[in-house]
Amino acid sequence: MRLRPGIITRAWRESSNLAQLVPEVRTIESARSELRWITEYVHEKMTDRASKGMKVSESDLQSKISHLCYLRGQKGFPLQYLLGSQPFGDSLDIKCRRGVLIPRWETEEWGIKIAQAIRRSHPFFTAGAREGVDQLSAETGSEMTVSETRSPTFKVLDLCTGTGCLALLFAEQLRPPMGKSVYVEGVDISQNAVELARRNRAINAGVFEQYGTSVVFTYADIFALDISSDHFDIIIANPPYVSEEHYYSCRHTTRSVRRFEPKHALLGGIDFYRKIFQLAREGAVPAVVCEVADQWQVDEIVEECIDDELEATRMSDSAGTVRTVIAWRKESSAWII
Amino acid sequence: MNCFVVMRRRLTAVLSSKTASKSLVFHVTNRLAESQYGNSYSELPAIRSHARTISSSTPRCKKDALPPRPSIPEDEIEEVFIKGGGKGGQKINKTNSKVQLRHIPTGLVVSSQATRSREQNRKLARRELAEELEFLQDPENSRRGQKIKQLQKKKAQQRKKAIRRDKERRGLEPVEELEAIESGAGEDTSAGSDPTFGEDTDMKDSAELGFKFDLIKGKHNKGGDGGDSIN
Repeated sequence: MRLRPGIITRAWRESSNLAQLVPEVRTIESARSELRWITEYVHEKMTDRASKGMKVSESDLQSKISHLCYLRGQKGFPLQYLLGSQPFGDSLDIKCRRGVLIPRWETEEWGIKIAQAIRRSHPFFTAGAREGVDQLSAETGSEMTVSETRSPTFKVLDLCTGTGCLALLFAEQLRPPMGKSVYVEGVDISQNAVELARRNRAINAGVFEQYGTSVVFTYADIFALDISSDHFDIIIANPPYVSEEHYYSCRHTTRSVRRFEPKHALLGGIDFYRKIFQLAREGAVPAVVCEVADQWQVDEIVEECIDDELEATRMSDSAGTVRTVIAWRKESSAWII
Repeated sequence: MNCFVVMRRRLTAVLSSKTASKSLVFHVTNRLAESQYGNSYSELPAIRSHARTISSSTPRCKKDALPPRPSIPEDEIEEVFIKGGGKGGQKINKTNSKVQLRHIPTGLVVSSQATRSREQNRKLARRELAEELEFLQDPENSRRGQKIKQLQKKKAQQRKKAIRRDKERRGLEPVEELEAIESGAGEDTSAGSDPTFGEDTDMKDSAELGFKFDLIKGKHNKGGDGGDSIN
């Protein structure tokens, strides 16, 4: 969207740093928020340095803030790369760096929705509540079918995990019932990403380790992956889905994303979805949830990947764009509302 | 049948302390719904004047414990999304995490862009909405009302201490004179606006917020605190 006339002048009246931010963030309100976050970040860093005995001056602080504003506003440097992190979920701190895709709010939104739906309605989790009340009926396995209680571990596979944000989000949200556990595995083809994901797991371990949840990150190419003997309960994925046409179009993909974020994490499409659904078939995985670009991509996926054994639905994000495709095997219990 | 919007009053209670950075930045827009709550909304000016004193501190002593946090059922809340335009998803990296909630029965709108996480902003906005409603319904006993009382008491205590310290700093004054001045000055502190007092209380506020501001103590921060437009 066009910059409103006079906006930079108005921003200058407040501060030069604010004015520097405007060309990238487009509104004064956003600029104020970003300046606030940049300032907080620089203060924290300087405080750290000061506490370690290093010399820190007021002008160091100000010049650092100005420099970050310049990079952000004039160069279009993504804020998460400058500050090195993105808060995610309820309490996750996901570290970010060049070469790995930055977690988006849309991913956070559907991730939480799906994880909470599982937590609320999936037999693995709801059965646990009854067990706490009546041990005896749990032993006799009263209302539950054998297939749903075959394993005390709920296994989640996160493909193209990147920073590991989705894997860690599910680990955070899927608190297992007593006597059961959750296992999340994240896979990525980029070693840079896997290293970052492992670092994120170490940083955020406090959130899920206490429940006995384990998170593992594996370096692998999904096109050469074999999960037939793993018994995953669900596959989640945010695979590269931007088409070449949209990637190079300024109307679709912003300059900042094209210039700074890794191309291989973005350029993709139906080939990835085809592979994901093939993996689900081979591994007899009862449910698949993937992020998508839009309604047209869902149509394409449904046509190419959804066979008679599966049911599928779509979910929109709160901006109104179709953002997720959800598919499940017909014979498994539909915990999705 | 509900009668809503009788009178529209735009209330911009920008809750930011002087230290700005770590504060919760909220926008509260109030549309009166007379029938439902029958309030005269005379409390609104009170919110405005106390806006700056509110910080996200936790109670320090059990005996001064605040009432528990209020909550609102989800079906009364509508989340308004400010459409950013464009395709979104992987194609755009939006750092704007603003969340706007509307309380359907009263029309009260609260928006939050305090943190960089949308989920955390959602939680904060819900918390703020619940507190706001509780405060409007029953200012005295609401959690916010109690917090305001606590802060007022604390500020009065700090002012008294600061006067004493100031007098000591200025030089040795006879004790009797000191006491006479103090008893007279004690009454006026609420109206006073001595800059040193402000600095002390700001230090306390920022300490409560758990944010160390030692580096720029006492200096006017030109470009640093973008969020503070009150100065």
